[in-house]
Amino acid sequence: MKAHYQRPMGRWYLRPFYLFVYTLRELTAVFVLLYALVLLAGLAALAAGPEAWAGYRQALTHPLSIGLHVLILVAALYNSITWFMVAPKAMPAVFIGTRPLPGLLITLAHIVVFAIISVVTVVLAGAG
Amino acid sequence: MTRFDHRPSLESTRHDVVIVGGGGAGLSAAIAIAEQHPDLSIALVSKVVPMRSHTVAAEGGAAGVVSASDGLDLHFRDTVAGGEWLCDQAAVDHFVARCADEMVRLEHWGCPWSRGADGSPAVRNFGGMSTARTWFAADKTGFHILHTLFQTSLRFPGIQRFDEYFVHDLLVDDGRCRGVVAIDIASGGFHALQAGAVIMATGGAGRVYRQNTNAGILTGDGLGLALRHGVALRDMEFVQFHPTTLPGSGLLITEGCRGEGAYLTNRHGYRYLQDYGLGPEVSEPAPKTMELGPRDRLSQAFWHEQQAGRTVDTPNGPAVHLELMHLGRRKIAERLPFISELAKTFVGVDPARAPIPVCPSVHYTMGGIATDITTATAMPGLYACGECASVGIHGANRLGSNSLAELLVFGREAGLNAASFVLDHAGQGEGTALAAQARDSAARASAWLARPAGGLRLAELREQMTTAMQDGVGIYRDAERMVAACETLENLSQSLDRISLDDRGRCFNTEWLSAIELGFTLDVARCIAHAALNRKESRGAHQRLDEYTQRDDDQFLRHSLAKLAPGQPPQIHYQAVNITRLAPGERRYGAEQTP
Amino acid sequence: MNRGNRQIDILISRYDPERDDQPRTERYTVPYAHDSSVLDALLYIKDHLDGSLSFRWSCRMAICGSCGKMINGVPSLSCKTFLRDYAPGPLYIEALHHFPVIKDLVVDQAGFFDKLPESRPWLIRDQERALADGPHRQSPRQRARFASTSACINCLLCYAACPQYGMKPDFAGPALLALVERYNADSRDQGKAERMPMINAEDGVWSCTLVGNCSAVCPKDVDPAAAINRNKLESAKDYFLRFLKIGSGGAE
Ligand SMILES: Cc1cc2nc3c(=O)[nH]c(=O)nc-3n(C[C@H](O)[C@H](O)[C@H](O)COP(=O)(O)OP(=O)(O)OC[C@H]3O[C@@H](n4cnc5c(N)ncnc54)[C@H](O)[C@@H]3O)c2cc1C
Ligand code: SF4
Ligand code: FES
Repeated sequence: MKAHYQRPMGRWYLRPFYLFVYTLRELTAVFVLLYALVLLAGLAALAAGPEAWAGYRQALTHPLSIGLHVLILVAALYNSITWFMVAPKAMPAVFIGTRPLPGLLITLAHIVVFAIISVVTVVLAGAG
Repeated sequence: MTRFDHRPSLESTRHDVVIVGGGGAGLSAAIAIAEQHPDLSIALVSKVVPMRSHTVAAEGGAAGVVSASDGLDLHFRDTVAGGEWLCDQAAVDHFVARCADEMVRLEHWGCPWSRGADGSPAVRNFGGMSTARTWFAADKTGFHILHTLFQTSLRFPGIQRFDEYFVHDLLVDDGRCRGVVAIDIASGGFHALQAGAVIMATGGAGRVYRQNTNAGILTGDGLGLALRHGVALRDMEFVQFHPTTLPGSGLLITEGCRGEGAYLTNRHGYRYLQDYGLGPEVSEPAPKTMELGPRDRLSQAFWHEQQAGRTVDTPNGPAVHLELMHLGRRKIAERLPFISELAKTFVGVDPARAPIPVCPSVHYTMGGIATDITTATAMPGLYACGECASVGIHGANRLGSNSLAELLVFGREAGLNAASFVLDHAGQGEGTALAAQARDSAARASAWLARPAGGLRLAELREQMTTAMQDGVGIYRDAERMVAACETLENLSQSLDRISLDDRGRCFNTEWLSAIELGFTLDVARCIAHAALNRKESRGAHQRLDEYTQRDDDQFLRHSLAKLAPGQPPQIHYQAVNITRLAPGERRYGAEQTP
Repeated sequence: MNRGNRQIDILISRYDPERDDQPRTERYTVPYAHDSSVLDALLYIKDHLDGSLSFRWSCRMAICGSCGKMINGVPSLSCKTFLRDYAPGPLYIEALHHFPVIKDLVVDQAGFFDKLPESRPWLIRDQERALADGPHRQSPRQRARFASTSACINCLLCYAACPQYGMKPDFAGPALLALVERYNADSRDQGKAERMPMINAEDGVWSCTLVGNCSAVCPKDVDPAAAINRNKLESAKDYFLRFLKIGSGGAE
């Protein structure tokens, strides 16, 4: 008998579309990391004294920095929401009687809580 | 590169017991042997991976007496009367006494039976049963039984599986069955499995008809194999039409729906079964009444409604309505989720909102390879169990949920008895004679691949066969149409060797297998048609419209036995029925039922 | 069957090991009606146009798990997928991805079946229960805990949907890990410890990167992705427990 045919994987991370969604989710994590670095730099500046801190704040207002922050915001939003979409799969099963809690509900709950926390944070930041 | 090889490979192995078929019956047999005799080597041969066998499609449930208000005697009476006294009463007694144990055994192996609030397995009503005694796992009972059996079988190293091996012949030496010859489907090579005993568990033959509830694999191979080696088929004229299946495709809508309380209505929204001796009209499911009448009666009632023009027209033919709406979405979701899925997928109906159109389709082969109560056939070393066998418990009409129970009870029986036979007859068959037999058989099967092109098309012959059966040997029969069917079938069987195949390769050549299957199916069809023509009475699933509309116990309270000799039409003989304690009487349902 | 009067073109990726080195694509035109499935179309082709086309099928009712194919790139059961949803066509059908192709639309499933016994998919009890003791008690709530994971029909669509399996054929994969979860979650079972090594293994749950696509294509709502990721929790717990035991010089 002749050999079986093994199909090569090809560019699986681009197509079909749902795999592209996944690829992007993993890629956007890089931006989340980037933002963590930005915050870390701020912390370092704060520790280094008022001058460094002022410099850091100055740098943040640069158009390049603002552009980067917008990019990070979009990426982080995408990352969070796609994670919320798989959240029902990553947590222990929740049952009401004999029925499992629908995954969509869990995802929605995550998004709602996320929205509330964001609003509260923005308000607190504005007040402070 | 050669397209095919005239001298195919032929491997050979030896086993203690070879089991042909990996459905509920075959797996039960295998596990029983492996448990009791861990030293015996068991070969489990199946043309599909075992858990794809058609047991997987059984929906409604499996019978087993458990509740205090029920009794073995009641189950016995329901079964014998349901089979219109053509049952072997000793076999029925043996059967009903063992059903519940088998259900418990499955439970211990992990079968997810549906449960009552107190945590014990629940039972539901089923057609022709005088009380609720049908165990179920939602409406996927067969699926759960088969997967439980398959997964449990993985525990036993003694069971060697030959998945996707197609058995096309038996090895017989000196009148004793000594193994099988199979095609390894993936490679197309041959494999002789020699054995001390062989168990047939190949399932039914619903594919003999055009519209049926059966899987593509149910082509009656085991029946055909037995016939070719001189073993008789019993009671083949009794073919069950299931009253509630989807028009066109024949997909099954389980009797469990009616067990849960569904109604059958005609085009006027009228529950017509009350006009056929099944009334009174009751709103809650009542045993043996209305929708819970036996299958033969319900399918016959449909036929009359159709004649009277009271059925509903669908693009796939006439139908009646199965109404579940009043059960409510919750109950449907809990008890009948698969039906809900099937109705939505295949006819676009949400059963919580609209009726499902249904009509009768061929469902079950009551007859089969004739065996005694120990599942032994007339050929030493050959056993049969499950739907391919006729151990004698179904008679002229099987009651729903008796078949799954039969697989377990008689599957186990076959395994243990075959094992004892092997141990009692130690010393295997003569290897060289069997090897020569296997070689000849392989060469005959290979001849299909060498046929000249331009012959008849396989599918056309198959279509002519199923049409002949559907038209000639249906719910109601008469001599004229049965004679016509018999003639067509004889002609088709002459034409078989004028078929040519498009595929001459060996690797996964399913066209080749289909051709061999068609040979088996045609032989089974011929036996059904001839046995039906010869039975000059009406009983159970065999109803005639010509001068034989009545049951005739004097002449025909007998089993038919069909045998086949090469180049001749089937020969039909008769065999006495074993009646031990319930004298033949009248079947009564609805208001007139007797316990 | 009602064959219908509409027509649709179907492209099929074919491969005959006795002839081809690479798959080739063939085009067929088939008639169809509102209720014609992709399986009906394949059967029509086999019966009337080209008998040499090979594919698996059996039950026609989405329960035997035989008939999985890639339909326009998505792993699907061909008996449960309807031509009407692809009008005007054409449709592209291939063998399930990630598995070696034996012929045409038939793949070699050994990668799954050979690993099956390792997951110990049977009820394990410390003490086997005697028949005379009758059935275990199990409440409807307890049964609900493994209702979805016990619904798997082994159709392997999830494997064809999983890029991790495509790159790492040794990965136990969605259906197998769901099966482990099925028995672990059964109130009657006491075999969790025996199944832990398979979960913990490199080819166990940690090969999953939560693409989630297995659950999206599953025709029986088994949700294998959830089963796997719940077992990541179990596996982590198991690891820490063992870690603690070693740290505290505990017994065993
Ligand atoms: C849709 C449906 C629903 C049903 N529901 C119920 C129900 O609710 N209750 C009930 O009691 N009964 C029910 N039945 C009937 C019951 O399910 C069957 O009678 C039973 O499952 C048959 O089991 P089996 O083991 O005999 O054969 P099957 O499960 O059909 O298995 C046959 C086996 O034989 C193998 N085989 C066949 N030919 C060959 C060959 N040539 N070479 C190798 N292997 C071969 C196949 O691969 C397969 O493994 C139902 C039947 C159908 C069709
Ligand atoms: S988990 Fe779903 S997709 Fe995977 S094999 Fe089971 S039924 Fe098929
Ligand atoms: S043919 Fe059985 S699942 Fe499609």
